[in-house]
Amino acid sequence: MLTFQEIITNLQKYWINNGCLLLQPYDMEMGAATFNPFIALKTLGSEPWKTCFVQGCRRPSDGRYGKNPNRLQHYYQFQVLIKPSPKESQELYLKSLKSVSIDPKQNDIKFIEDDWESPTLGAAGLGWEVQCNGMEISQFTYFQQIGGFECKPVSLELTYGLERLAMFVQNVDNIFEIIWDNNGTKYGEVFKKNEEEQSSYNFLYASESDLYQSFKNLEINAEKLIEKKLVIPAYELCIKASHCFNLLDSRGVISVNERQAYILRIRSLVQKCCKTKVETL
Amino acid sequence: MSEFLLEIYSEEIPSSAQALAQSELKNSFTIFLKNERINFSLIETFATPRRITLIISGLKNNEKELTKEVRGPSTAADKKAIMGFLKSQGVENQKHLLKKEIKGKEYFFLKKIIKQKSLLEIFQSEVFSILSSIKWKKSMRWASFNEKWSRPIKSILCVLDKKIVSFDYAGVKSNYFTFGNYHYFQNKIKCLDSNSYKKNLKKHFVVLEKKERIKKIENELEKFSKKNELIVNYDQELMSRVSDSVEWPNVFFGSFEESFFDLPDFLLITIISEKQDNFSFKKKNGKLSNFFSFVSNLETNKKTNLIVGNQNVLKARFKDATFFVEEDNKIKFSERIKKLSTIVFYNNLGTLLDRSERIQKLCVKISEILKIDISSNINNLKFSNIDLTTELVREYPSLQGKVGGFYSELSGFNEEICNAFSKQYEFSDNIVENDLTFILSLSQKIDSVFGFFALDRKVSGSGDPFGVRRMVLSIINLLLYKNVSLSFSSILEILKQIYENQNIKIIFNKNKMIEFLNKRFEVLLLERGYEINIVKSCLQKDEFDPSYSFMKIKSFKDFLISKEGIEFLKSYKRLESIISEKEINIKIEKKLFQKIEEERLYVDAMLLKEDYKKNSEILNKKSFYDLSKSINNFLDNVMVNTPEEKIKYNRISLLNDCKKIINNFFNFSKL
Repeated sequence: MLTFQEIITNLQKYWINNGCLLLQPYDMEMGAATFNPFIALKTLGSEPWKTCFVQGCRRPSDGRYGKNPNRLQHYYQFQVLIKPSPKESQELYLKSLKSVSIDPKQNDIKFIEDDWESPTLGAAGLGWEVQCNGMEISQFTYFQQIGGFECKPVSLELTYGLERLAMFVQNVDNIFEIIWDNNGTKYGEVFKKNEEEQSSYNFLYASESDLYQSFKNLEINAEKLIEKKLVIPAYELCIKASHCFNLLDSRGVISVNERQAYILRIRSLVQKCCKTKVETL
Repeated sequence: MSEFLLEIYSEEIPSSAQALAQSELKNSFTIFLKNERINFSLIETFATPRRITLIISGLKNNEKELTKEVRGPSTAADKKAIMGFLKSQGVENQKHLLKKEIKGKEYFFLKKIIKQKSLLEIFQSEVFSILSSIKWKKSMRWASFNEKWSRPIKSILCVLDKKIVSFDYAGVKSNYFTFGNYHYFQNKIKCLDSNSYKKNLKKHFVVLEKKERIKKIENELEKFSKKNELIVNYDQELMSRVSDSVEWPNVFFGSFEESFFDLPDFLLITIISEKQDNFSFKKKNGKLSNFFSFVSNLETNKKTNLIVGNQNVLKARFKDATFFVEEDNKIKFSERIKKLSTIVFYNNLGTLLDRSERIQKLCVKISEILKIDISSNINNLKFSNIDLTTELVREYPSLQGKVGGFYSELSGFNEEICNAFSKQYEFSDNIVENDLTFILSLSQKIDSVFGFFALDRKVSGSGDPFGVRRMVLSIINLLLYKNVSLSFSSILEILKQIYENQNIKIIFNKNKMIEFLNKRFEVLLLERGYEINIVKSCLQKDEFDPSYSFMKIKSFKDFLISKEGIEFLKSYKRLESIISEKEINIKIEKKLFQKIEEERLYVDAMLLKEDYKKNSEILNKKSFYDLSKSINNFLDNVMVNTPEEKIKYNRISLLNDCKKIINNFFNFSKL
């Protein structure tokens, strides 16, 4: 049985062998690996790009104080981006499953329509959620646009939910029971405390007033950086703003409708970043 | 007879796109064949998640030779002209020319034989543009290609009478092979006609016909139900989706722990069918069963993998839902109300508590106007939004409303109010059956639309990011189904007052709102087949009242197609053409009437005026008919342009007045 870290190393090996450059995780809080500048910004422009890496992701409102066997507010994604999208995308993906000992002949692998859209990034792609015996294990997306700009060529983005994948491979029904290494260390030993404490922070103690203020400041500063055509730092502030917004959301102080307005504010910033990038290509 | 076979083999195509691609291809090919005047006996289309197929059979090759006569110079022309004509037509000798007389003059003619293109050539030159012309709801590009499809194309089979119809699309060259179900067999399979194509697919685990796939699934579900004394919760959309997701349907069954029955059925069913695309069952006593079913491409002996996997997923989802319900139940309704006050509705539109109070007040006002008694539930109405504070709604936004109903029931609210909470967001017509549900649904939608305009936001293009268009449509439908007249001119004023009492500053532009509402109504009416002129002449500029306007439109339309209406319209047009340039406003003096026709017209016009005062919506056919006769008699027998100015202007005034009275009812001039 593969350990959690073996799953990661096997995927890395597999994608390195298929020509991907192995990056290390980006040092910022983000809701999904797509936000990583080496994904989001790289999908613009025509130069080819192939990369893979693990990205820690944070979704504050998914916290369950470590009590829910399927939910985490911090988890890992394994991300692959190939531009232009290769001809045998699906075959490549199915083979990658074999590298983590999932046999598509013995398990029901389904490609379920899931047209991905990131309202905050103004990004859209068409693709699927990949289910293995009913469980979503990956997201499979052909990037069509970002920040309102057409992606040409089209990039293929593959995202593996590493915990989900491990639960499946190890046949456990509780995230915290995932075996991390050959010493038998469990995921819970590493992350349970983190989930408990961060959930309290996310739901109870994150300072609303500070977050509102930070959001405003980030917005103002991002605008300034865009004026100076400093796309990467400006975009980083968008990522930060997005995380601020996610925390406000988990504090339950934003209504469904107000949420939309916040999303549009971030999107407009991202759009400006993309516009600047496209103009300076 | 020829046969054309086209198969676009691609990565997994979503259910909705499968249906669309089939109908689009069928239409495009039908039009193409018509334009090319090619006969055929049948066009069939098929779709699976991996392929869209089109077969045209009984194609009749109209490859007959056509002759055409080309006119040359006159036979009297000089030799140079004749030689020039021969040269331009590529003919060497004058003896190939015929002579024919046209209008007394003789000309040379050349009989030319034009060979038509072969079917193969015609198809070859057309398939690419047909594929490119499909109007997808959603389509994509891939790699560096410009062409679009629902998902990346892997292979294209295209043959006509066993020959390849050769073209390129998105980097794929057409050929004569297909693929089986890739879960079983990955090699190319040669197919030169539809017979071998269909046989090969079956042999390689593909059921091409959707109907057959559904049948197969239904049979299995039926067998299982019978054995376990259950009834399938049949959901047509789900069945369609599921059958579109596999090429070789195999049905599996699993179960979940009965302890999850603590969750409400609507929640369990939503998770089973919407989140997991599984089928649920109910017992003979109507209660939900703990069995479920899913469909897979795989035909495997190792069923346990699949079943345990799917059971685990469902269990995890149910556990998640249980967590939410437990969390939600920790907070009492009275505390939730407080929580509403901490959530901003829209920036500058107050909190959700403000909104709840507005809705409550609006409900009271509307119930007063419509004379509907809701007094016993007025207090409860302030809880209408309470479920927006719950974890369950945060996780399953589509269950907003239902969740409110569920928690209210748990807290001991009466059935009527729980029902109203549950259904307030629905868009179906059955919500008008219950008065309270109707009023709540209407009020909360009006507040949403009002709020949108109060922020001076704009609806542009085809998007509807805040769902405003959809909500207006629902408001219209609610009022039409309930068939009650409600003046928005006053409702909007009332709501404005409510906002002001809440100290919320808003931008209030009533005309703009009414214009927007009427515009949506107009679109709806046009979709229902009402002519634009009729619609436009019945909608008011400063008022929005769908039921009232709709009644007017119907009576107007009825009138216009009646015998009396047709006659009336003719005479009205006559009248209009006489006075179109003669706008005169002087008081009519009866003593200046000289002819009986003037007298008569005056009397009939006054009668119509009385009709209008009594009931402005109903067109009294008889009054209009009488008036049309009077108009005709007047125009036949009375000279308007008499030398005597006083009489002339009196007559013009009479006609003008007559027109005004008529147009009180409807703007006939717009017709």
